[in-house]
Amino acid sequence: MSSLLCLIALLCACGGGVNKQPLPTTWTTGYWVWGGQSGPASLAKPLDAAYVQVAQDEYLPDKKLPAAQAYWAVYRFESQGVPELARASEIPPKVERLLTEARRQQLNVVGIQLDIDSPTSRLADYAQFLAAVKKGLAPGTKLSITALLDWFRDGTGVEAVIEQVDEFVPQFYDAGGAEREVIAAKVDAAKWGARFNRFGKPYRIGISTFGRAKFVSDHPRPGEPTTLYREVTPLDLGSEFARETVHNDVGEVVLTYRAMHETSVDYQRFQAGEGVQFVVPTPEGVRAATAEAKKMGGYAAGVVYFRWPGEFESLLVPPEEIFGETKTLAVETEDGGCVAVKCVDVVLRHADRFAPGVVRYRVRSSAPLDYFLPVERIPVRLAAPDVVELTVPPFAGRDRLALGRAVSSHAVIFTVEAVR
Amino acid sequence: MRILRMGAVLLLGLSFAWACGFDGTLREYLDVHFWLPFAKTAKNFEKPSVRRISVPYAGMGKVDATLLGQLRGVYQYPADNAAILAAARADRSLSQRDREEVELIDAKIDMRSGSPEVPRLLRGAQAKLEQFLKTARTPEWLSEARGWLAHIHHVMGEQTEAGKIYLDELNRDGSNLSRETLLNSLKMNYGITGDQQLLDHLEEYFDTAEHAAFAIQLLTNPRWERNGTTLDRREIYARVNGLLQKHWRILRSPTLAVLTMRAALSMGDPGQALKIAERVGDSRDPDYLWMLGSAHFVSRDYAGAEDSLLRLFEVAKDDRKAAAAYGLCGVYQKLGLPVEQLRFALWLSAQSSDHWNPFPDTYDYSVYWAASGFDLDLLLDAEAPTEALDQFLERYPDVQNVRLVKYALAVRLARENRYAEAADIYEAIGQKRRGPRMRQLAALWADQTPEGRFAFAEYVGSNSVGIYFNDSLWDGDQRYALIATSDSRLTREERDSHIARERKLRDDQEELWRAQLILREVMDEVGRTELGIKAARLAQRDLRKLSERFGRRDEIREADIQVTRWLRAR
Repeated sequence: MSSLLCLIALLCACGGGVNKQPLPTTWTTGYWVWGGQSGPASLAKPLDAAYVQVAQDEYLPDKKLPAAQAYWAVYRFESQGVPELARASEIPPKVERLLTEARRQQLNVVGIQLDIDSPTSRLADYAQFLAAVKKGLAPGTKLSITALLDWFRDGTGVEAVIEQVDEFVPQFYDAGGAEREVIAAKVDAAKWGARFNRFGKPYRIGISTFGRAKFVSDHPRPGEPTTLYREVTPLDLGSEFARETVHNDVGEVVLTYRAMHETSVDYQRFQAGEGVQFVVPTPEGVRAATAEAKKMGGYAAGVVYFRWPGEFESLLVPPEEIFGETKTLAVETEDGGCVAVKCVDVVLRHADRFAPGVVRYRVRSSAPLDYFLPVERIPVRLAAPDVVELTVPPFAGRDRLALGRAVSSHAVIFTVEAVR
Repeated sequence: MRILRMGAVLLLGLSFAWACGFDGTLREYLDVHFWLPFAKTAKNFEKPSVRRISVPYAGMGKVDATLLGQLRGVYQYPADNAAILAAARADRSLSQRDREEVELIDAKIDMRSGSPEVPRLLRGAQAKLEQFLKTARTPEWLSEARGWLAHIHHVMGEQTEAGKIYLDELNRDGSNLSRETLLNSLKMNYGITGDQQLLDHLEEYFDTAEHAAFAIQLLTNPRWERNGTTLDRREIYARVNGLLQKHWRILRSPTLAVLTMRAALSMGDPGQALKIAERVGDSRDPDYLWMLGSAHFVSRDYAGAEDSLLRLFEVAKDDRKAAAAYGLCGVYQKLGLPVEQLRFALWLSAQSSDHWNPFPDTYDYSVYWAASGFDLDLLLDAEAPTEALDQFLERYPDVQNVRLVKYALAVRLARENRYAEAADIYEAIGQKRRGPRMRQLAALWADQTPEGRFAFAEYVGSNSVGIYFNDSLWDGDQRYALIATSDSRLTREERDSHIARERKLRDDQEELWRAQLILREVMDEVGRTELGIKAARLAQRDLRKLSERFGRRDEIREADIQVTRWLRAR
């Protein structure tokens, strides 16, 4: 089947008007590193590519970047539409400065990527803009673009855009806006492979690995803007919320928590029927999308995941999960510096993020604790003098979960087990 | 306009509040960090009575028509100097001192033109200065040359070479480098706690006892995470110990022992620190006494800590005395000796009564406790038993701030319904409002009939914060001191007892709570009489006036429902 698809892809590619490039010989895996966020994820091997958003339009972020064979500097244009043509000349000097700095940092920056959400109706203008940018770039600096799926409808003129670039990355997420109950778009090799391969240009498939939390209400007001939460996770919503779980057809889980009566979480008040909806990606969903991208064959050169985890981000599939480098459940402690007692901050590591049901974690100490002070809003309790019990709702585990401070007369050793 | 002015005042107040965050931390002596060795900065390595001179630096003297004067001119207002320098050098009329000035100016001009990125000129200046130091004899030029040589080392990242020169110059009689210049240079060279470079080059400091002691103490200074330190304490400990053993001859025995103790304590090994202390024996060195007390306290031998801290309190002439006093508060708290705890807590408050920041040097020593005074306030208001306050007044009747203890005792007596005794104390200390109030309460309390108890409760309820609340200690901030439920430094027994005591304090000091309890008793006793109904209405009012911060939310709600139903049912 896949050979057939390759053949079709090649035939399609022959019919296109774009200058063709050699077929990619290796499959690559990359990540977008966004907004200067570079969290603690670590992989055994470097990424093939990291697409790093350029801070302030000038520099790569100061924070430590994930190790990668090649880096692309990504210039994001926030406003919808195509930038004025005159602005194209602003980009090459910035790129030059960035490349100089990157060489100093010994980063192998192979090219730039423009992330511009051009309306489909203005692709011709966008092609002109790209041509102007490309003209100003130093020889050898590759030009990549992100691409919206809508551009690839028939008769949009996307060929002219692709003509200008060395590669393109169609984004298979947020095709319908943030207010929908789904983030990922279905990666269907049969449908999309032929459309992408006809240009004879290498492309990579942009796949979402992130989640989202938004306000929901039983009685929504029309026209009210969607409220998104950055910090809230299912762990923060206690027993005062009723939970509903739905699995959508792109492998995401939609968890809807609604307050059963008026309540508050931090400073946010919820009336009965109001709550938070989480769209949580799953490793299975991401792996399925990746496998489907591979099936596209032809000029499909790899995938790029959006995005590398931020420091405190929990609603995502971490790179370790995607690459099968899962880590063992563990408990870590950090000394709290008490004189008259032994006090330690207890942190649970690698709690299962994707457990479909409630998981109880029992943290046992080698001797009875004097007392335990839980972190606020974490469902943890001292179940026995030597057992701290944490109850984690479905899909709410985190890589690093601070439980609280354990106090004992002398040093103790902790172990942990999951009880499903 | 008035609104604008008020807005400006409000903004000013807010900016002040943001700038000076309130710190109500309690019981700092339960924190390991409190007991670390005293931090040392460059000024701690300065010998007393070093004689300095203050002469203009080379090239900064008078600019005139002489060749030297012209050379000074091109130094002060940079211009091409080659010709004038050659001419000045050839001038046979110059004195030895002036000839030396010419050479020093030459080196300084090179130094000024150089930079770490283009080191050639800097290295050239270094060579000239080193040569100069071998041949020159004028003391002020020599000390200046040493200073510039150290500066070149510093800018070239050669911390050890620079640091040793600065340190020697700090204690050199006749130096022309000011004390401030040298202290700032040392601070710039090392920071507060030393760094990896210092650790890497530690052995090079063992050329003299002074250099070694300086380097070790800097490396074993208390470290704060917020300063971004990345040095591994274990690595420091191992390296310092190894070098102290290897170079033991350099350091006189007591110095060696104190440094080794310091390393052990910094590493968190109080047992080893105590073993080393046995070798020192009797000493009045404040650093040693502090570390000995610390090692005992951190080992949970609180009685063992008392003696050395008392001696430190006696011998210390600076803010280390205050550190000893606060440490002793911890010792006596742990030993259950509230009278002595109160003695030192009161001494601290007496020193700090006029200042927000009474012990500025404690910051330099990296010993910290909050200036809120909550430790003393809680001790007086709840932790020390009433009898302990009595005993304190007997034992220390004339100490500074003793009025605070007397006032607290009067409040505590009132809480125990001993109003006449409370009145005696208030009157003795000239308390004009509370004294008469206590006399009235004594009279009301004497009548234990339902009518009398109603009148008593009515009076109590209408004098909120005027009878049982200690207004001399708290200024609307008491809730920040009642933190036992979240204080993880307490043993289980201490925690349970603190939590119970905090609850009792809240109950005992709340006039509305106490009044409604009596009123509900009266209500039950007399039933649906006119008095009973009056008592119920008053109890309902008092219950509803109780602040949320008081707690007992469910009990208050339940009582309110009961009283309300009782009133409706008639």
